[in-house]
Amino acid sequence: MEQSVFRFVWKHSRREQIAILLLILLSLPFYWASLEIPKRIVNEALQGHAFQGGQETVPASAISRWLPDAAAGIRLDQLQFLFVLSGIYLFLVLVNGAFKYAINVKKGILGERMLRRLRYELVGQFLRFRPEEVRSVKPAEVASMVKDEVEPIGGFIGDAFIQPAFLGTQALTALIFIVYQNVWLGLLALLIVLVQSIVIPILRREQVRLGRERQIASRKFAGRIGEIVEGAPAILTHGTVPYSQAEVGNRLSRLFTIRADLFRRKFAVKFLSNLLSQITPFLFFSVGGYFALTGRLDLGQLVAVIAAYRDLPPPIKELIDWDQQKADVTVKYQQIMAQFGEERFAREGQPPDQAAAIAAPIRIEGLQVSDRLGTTLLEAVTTLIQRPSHIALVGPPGSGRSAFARALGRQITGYKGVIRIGDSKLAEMPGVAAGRLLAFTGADPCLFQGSIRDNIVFSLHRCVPSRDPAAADSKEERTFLEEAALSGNLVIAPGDDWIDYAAAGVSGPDELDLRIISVVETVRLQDDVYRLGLLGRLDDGASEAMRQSLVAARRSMAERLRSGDLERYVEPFHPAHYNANATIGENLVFGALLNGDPGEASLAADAQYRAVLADAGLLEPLLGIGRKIAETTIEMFDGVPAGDPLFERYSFIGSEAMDTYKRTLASIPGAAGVQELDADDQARLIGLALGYIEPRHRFRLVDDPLRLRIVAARSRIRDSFGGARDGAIEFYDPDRYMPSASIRDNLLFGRLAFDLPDAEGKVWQLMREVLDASGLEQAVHAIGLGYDVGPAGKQLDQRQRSAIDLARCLIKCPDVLVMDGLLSAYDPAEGREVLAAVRCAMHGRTLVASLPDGFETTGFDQVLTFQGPRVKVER
Amino acid sequence: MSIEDEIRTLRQIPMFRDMEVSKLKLMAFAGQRITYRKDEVLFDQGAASDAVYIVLEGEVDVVRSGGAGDVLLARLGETELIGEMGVLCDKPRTARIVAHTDVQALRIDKMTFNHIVQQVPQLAMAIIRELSERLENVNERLAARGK
Repeated sequence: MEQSVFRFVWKHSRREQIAILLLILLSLPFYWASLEIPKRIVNEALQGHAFQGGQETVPASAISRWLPDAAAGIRLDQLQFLFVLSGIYLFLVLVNGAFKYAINVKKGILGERMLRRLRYELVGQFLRFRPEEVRSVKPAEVASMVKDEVEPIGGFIGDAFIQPAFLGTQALTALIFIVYQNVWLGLLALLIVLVQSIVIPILRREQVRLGRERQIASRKFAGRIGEIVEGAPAILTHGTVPYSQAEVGNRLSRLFTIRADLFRRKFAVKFLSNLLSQITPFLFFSVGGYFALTGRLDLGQLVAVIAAYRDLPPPIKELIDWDQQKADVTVKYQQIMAQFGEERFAREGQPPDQAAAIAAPIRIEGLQVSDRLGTTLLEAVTTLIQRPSHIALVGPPGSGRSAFARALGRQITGYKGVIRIGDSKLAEMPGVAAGRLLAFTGADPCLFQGSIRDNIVFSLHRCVPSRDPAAADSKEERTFLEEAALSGNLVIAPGDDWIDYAAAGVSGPDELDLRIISVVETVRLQDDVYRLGLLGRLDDGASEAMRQSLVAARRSMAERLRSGDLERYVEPFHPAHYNANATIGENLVFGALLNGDPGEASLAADAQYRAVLADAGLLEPLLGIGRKIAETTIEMFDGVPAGDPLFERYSFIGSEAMDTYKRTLASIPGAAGVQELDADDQARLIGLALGYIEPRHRFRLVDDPLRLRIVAARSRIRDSFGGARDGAIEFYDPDRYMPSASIRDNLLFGRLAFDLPDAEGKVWQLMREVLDASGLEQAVHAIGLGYDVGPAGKQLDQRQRSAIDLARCLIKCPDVLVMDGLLSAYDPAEGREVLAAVRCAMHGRTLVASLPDGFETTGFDQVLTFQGPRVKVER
Repeated sequence: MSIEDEIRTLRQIPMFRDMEVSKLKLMAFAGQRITYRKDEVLFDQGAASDAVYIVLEGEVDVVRSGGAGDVLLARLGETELIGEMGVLCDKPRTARIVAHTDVQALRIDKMTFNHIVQQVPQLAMAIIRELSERLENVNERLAARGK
């Protein structure tokens, strides 16, 4: 990228810049005329100089000699003359405004376009970093640079050439106009302008320096905040909140000092600027007035000069602002460019030729890897890996096997020695070619927010779609594509298909899910996907036949449970019975909420819902249950640190809400009890009660009379919610498909028993068989693959994340697959199964597997055993 | 049987005797009370040690399979803790546990049990004490055989 912001702007936008400059030039005569007209209004119309010699009227040609003959002959009296001149003035004001509007819009869009290009290119620059450089940057700092720091640069880009031209010509026009009226007043104005443009920039230098400091401090602050967010669990675990907060406080203090200094400087400059611009009219009134009284200047000229001067300070001030902004932005741009400098880029050589990429052996010559501190991780390894072959890397944790695998997987490129495939150096292979040739999966997989499917096919996103804006289907699409082209972005639309189906070994999108499922089976994730699918819902587009299949499968499931003596493992929903394995809340609602499950807390916070509970005589018992749950939870989790997994898994109350509940309990008045609490506190306690399941939580809080009352309240809830809320709840009906309930709930139409051994495991297999027999297997898989993994895959456990990463590698059928530390995420038995399955999938291609202790290496073509940084044995 | 009854049973187990009531309550709460019918298997020999079990009601048989077929090693009743060695040492189950009668047991999964051991020093000490006693018993038996 260009190292100067002006070169960057000129290179990518000179055509637009020139077009806007021409527009500015075009606007100048109109601007001049708008300065001239007030003088004529005063002199010729008001003072009557046009009507000298006692004339009652003058021809219209007195206004302009360029009027056509037909109009020029029209005679105007003094009042008409005034109105015509005023009308012309109004017209010129409108024309000037229109020019300003057009110039500003064009300038603004140009700035936005260039900002878009700048951000796009910066992200592109970052993605060219060496792996070591990528690991050394703080994500929040890069985000802060790309998002926030370039913002003012973008704003400036639109102004880079246009602003000085626009304002400069405007100021110059006004100045020339003043000189044209009176040389002395012109010189006076020039003097003031010179003082402004010399003194103020000097004062502003310090402001620029402080601005630069603020930029660096803000970026570091953003980086630290990012770290705190990422490291929040560690902070909570170790109880170091005050320390972390104090550290933030120190940084904020530094920022405050800089900002306070900036404000002082900024307003001092503003004061001076205002003073100079306001002192000038004083001089004009006094000096200009003197000239007018002594007859050296007519009144119209004085009015025109004052009007012209009114237009002079803003452009001058803005020009000075522009100059400061230029200094500021130039520094900012240079600083950002320094962060994205080419010295951080991975070296790129020639892509390997196709035949070599497929068959050439991997030659490792004198490979030596050290960390940033110079500690040797791998010591001078020279070996040859034939292709195709399967290679095992073994050795204790911390030995060179991981460094070797990471160097082969291009996760480390700053090593001594060389790794070659054919004639190409692996470290210098272009990213796209390397991405086709090899895949690497490590212990720390990186997932993106999106579905499991999106994450797996991520590696296939390499068919760059080509689009022609002229062939766009709609005007919006054409604009979208044209703007992308004008900003130097790839000309593609959001929904374009990037997937390389051939690389996945399928002919098109219809076959892709089957291929994904086959890869998911290899990495032993199929049961997880199926389970997630069961917890999902058929989408709104599901056919009626599919829905009916699910209702039929429900009947079949009930039959299979009966015949397999598994009936006791599922407690079915029954309108007249309390379901002990469902929550109190579920028993009350007895259905699925059409707008999704709002959670117990939201339901309890609903005044109408609480009113129904009160009518049913349930408020008091539920408040009592909530109180008991709150007391017991607070007792049990007292001393358990916030962020502890036990909180996540078992606590009714989140660690952050513990204090609130303590306050709620403390505010319960003596004898009157929980009913005296305010609505918020009552809602809190009821929210806890609604989540209670007797066989699961076992506080012995639900007795038979309460069960009967809850069942009886269902009809009230039905009347209240089903009527007033236009069917907000879909009530359980054994013969109907429930669109808002999960597939599992639709199938089981009940709840698994909490107190029976392995209820889920026993029913799970049966559910699978029934769904498969109903032809719903693919639908369940598809829903499971559509599960959102959350930010960085946090909705999944480590094993699932690693499995998805491995699946992502396998689906693109790489010629070389390098696995490092991934198998540790599985338990040993499953890890061995996965390794065997991966070896099978990589048959005829090359696999390099860094294996944890206890893994068999029988069957591998080559085994490298590491001890410390050295290769000890090579077989 | 409520959680309070389960806590009373847990208190009778030597390993848990010194634990605070609140932590004992947390352990019980984090567990799952399961009802087994007679002859149902709690876990199999060779299976991964994924949980510890505490017998709350009824009796279970500890059965080991080998070349000579199934051998009944012991019959355990109320307040017995089962499967903790496999969980602590991360080793597969060394025997099969079968319900001899209808059984109520508290199942605490491995992650939770290990986590509570880390959280409660009294429990960690009690485990050390228990393991030492068992080791001493084995030593004594070996010594007795050697005489």
